[in-house]
Amino acid sequence: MLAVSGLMDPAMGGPGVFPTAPAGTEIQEGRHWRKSNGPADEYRRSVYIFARRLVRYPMLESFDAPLAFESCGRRQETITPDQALELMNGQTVAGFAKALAGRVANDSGQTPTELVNRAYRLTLGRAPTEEEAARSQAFLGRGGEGALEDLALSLLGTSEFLYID
Amino acid sequence: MMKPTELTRRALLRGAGSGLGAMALATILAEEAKAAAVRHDPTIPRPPHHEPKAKRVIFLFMEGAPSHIDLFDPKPKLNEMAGQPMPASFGRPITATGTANNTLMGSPRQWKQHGKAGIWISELYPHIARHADKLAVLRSCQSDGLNHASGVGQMNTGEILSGRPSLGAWVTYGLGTANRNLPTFVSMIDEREPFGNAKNWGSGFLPAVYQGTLFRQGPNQILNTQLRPGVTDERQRAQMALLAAQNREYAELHPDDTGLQARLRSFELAYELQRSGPEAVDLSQETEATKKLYGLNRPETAVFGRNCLMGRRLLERGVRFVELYCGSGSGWDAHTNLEGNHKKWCKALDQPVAALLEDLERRGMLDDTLVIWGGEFGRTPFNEKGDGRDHNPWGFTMVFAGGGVKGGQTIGATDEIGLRAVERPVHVHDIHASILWLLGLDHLRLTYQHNGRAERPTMLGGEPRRAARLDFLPSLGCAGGRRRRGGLFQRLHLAGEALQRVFPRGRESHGGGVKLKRAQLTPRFKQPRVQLALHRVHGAIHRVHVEQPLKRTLARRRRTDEKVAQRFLMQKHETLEVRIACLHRRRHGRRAARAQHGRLAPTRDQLKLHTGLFARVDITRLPAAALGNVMVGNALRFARKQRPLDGREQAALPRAVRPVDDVQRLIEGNGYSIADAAPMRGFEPHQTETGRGRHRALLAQQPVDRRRRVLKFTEITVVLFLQPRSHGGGAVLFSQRQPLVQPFADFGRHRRGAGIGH
Repeated sequence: MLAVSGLMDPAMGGPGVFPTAPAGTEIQEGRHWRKSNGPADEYRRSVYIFARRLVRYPMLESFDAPLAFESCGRRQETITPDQALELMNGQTVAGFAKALAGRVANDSGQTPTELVNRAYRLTLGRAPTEEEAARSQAFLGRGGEGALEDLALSLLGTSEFLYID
Repeated sequence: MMKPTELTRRALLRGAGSGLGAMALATILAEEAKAAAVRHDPTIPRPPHHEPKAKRVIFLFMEGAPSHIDLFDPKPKLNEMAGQPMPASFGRPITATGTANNTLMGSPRQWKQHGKAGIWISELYPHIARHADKLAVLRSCQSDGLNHASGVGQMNTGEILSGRPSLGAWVTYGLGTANRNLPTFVSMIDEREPFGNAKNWGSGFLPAVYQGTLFRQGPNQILNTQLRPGVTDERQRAQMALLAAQNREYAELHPDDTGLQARLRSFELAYELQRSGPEAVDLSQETEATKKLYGLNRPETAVFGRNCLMGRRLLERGVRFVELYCGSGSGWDAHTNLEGNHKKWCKALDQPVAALLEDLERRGMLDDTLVIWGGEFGRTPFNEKGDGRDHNPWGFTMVFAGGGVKGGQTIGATDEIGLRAVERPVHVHDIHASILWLLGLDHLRLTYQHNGRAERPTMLGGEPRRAARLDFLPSLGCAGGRRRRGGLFQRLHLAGEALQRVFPRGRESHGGGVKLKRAQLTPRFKQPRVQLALHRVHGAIHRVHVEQPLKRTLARRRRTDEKVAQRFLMQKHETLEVRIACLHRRRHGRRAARAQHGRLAPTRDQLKLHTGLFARVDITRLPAAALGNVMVGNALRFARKQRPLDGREQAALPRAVRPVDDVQRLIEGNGYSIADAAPMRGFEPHQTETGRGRHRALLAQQPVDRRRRVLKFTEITVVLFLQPRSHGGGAVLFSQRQPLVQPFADFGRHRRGAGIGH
């Protein structure tokens, strides 16, 4: 998501970073977590997110990051509604979708066809099929606030994007 | 769930276009959907196997293990003996922190009998005690895990190792969902993450859609249920429709990947959770009186009280399995300061749990809601650090109420100090089988085909009837299956299953091994006189159901048996570790197997998955017939004495007993290489003359590439691998304890588990 939205900070190494944690989770600023330093903390790859022994970064937790206090023989893979909620309503993911939408709008033409093509190319690495193109263009065509952003959000939530085939 | 994903897509699309709510549309389409639903929706409601007693379960999981001897199992004798070391006759266990030599610690609790039934409950549970006549106190529970991660894991999944589905996932798989907008299985924590975390509500090898959903603690129970600012419901529905369409197509391209279906379903559920989730956990709809009943007005009870109340709301809304962790993150783990620890936690849960029972009863839900109280194990009678208690999986208490449970009874018993279950021991598998039975599911028929094997929730154990004997379940007929008699296969089963099942669990148990008491196995060289029925479930899982308790038979025979046992040279108590598994060997002829010598070894994973039983057996008591033509007595003796048997000794053995070479021949004759019998764990072999000689002799017989392994004998363990008859039947018998095969030093001492085990 970082990569396709163009936000990724490719820096390697260095101390762990502290991206903003959503309110209401076990992670509390000051107790477990430092305040985010903006992009330098937010957009590093998740491998650089600071790993505490007892709490995990919530988004990674819902996507099955293992516990830090016991050995992990095999990573679990789960599919739960809270992951879906993260992909629907999560601030972080929404931010990525917004950035992706901006990126799409920025480096392609402004016709629905061009936008859709570019969005598919960026996220799924392929051109849309005819049906997909028609559907997505219709979606954009209906307009409304943030249509492109929603298209981006949908593409980031697709199984094709989430899974390595 | 009634809505097939296919129709949901349409429902969402149409709903988005016409302004109708997606859920309303789903209702309109429900009838039409039914047929397709079975095909597409893995969570469609399914009929139970028999009339259920309970429709839902709420499992109050005391994580960290509460002390049974301070709560439900009074031990006056322990108080008398306090300060003394534990007499050896109780059997000194290996404990988690090595405290078995510490002195016994009395319990300062004040005990009283409560209710008409006179259930013993300590003063720490004043509120729960008022409901004593609703409780079935099961005092003889046993589990296998010595430590929390394995214990909690086993209580939830049946296995101390990771990888198996949790009980709630099995229930979801077996019965489907009973609501359309909430998960079927919800776990709720009150503090930190429980040990093992996601595996406790994970779905293991079951499709991912059956796993539980974690409700967090705090205001934001399910994260991200709020729409982002500026996003309207309509806008989100349109976006979801687009996403669903895309995902649906992708899933159709990959029909084998159940994860994709689950992903689709997760979005639907998430969409509905946005509305119903916050509603279900919104306690503002409850009256002040109810809130007060659950103790929401007091800081010490507020947290668990809120969870209990939310649990009840979820149960009302069709959630089948709610698991509430009390002290999640091992809160009850009182290695020190048991007094302070238990007072705190008992206070936190006493009033809320009593309120839950009362509330459920008042709403008429208690009759079909099973309430379970328990932890992953109990605590030891001896002290740790003066004022704490260590882990005790050998005997502990669980309490059941509601749904089909006969209240007001105490079942089973631990020994005089509360260390081991001695009367009617009930293993975790039996408890699971019983819970499933109450929900209308037969644990033998609730199977899922995985890696060629019909897996079931209780692995190769579990006996609701054992729990049924505890009378909180009515007697249960034995599950369907064909009767089979005779044949090596059955006899092997006899050995294996008998070890695990018929003979009560033994005195010594750690790390999954169970040592059986002496004289519990008949040493007669024929099958014990019990009626046997061999059950086959989908041709892969087999079990022997023993109709008649062996106790009487054994008592009658014991004297004769002692004499017979003396025919063995091993007059001392010997134990073997027996591990039994159903193995699906690839179907090669014997010749092909020989040609590929050593290459037929199942992979580690396969073996692990197929390994079912563990038991440590008294070899002197093992019925020879049960082991077919192979008796390992000689091998064992050989190992013990570190010398071959002389003629007289040889003659003293029954004809069936053969030396080690026979074991080896058997292994190889079955297409396995002795090298496959890799060490199970770390070991300390001690080399002897005989050992070396034996090793050289064996090595010489090995193909060159096997020479990197050295064979040594110290003590011998038998590992039996059974094959279903469809795969040629028969058995492979590995003879090893830690040693038999040991890698050369340069090969890496720590290269463990290349073959068997983990």
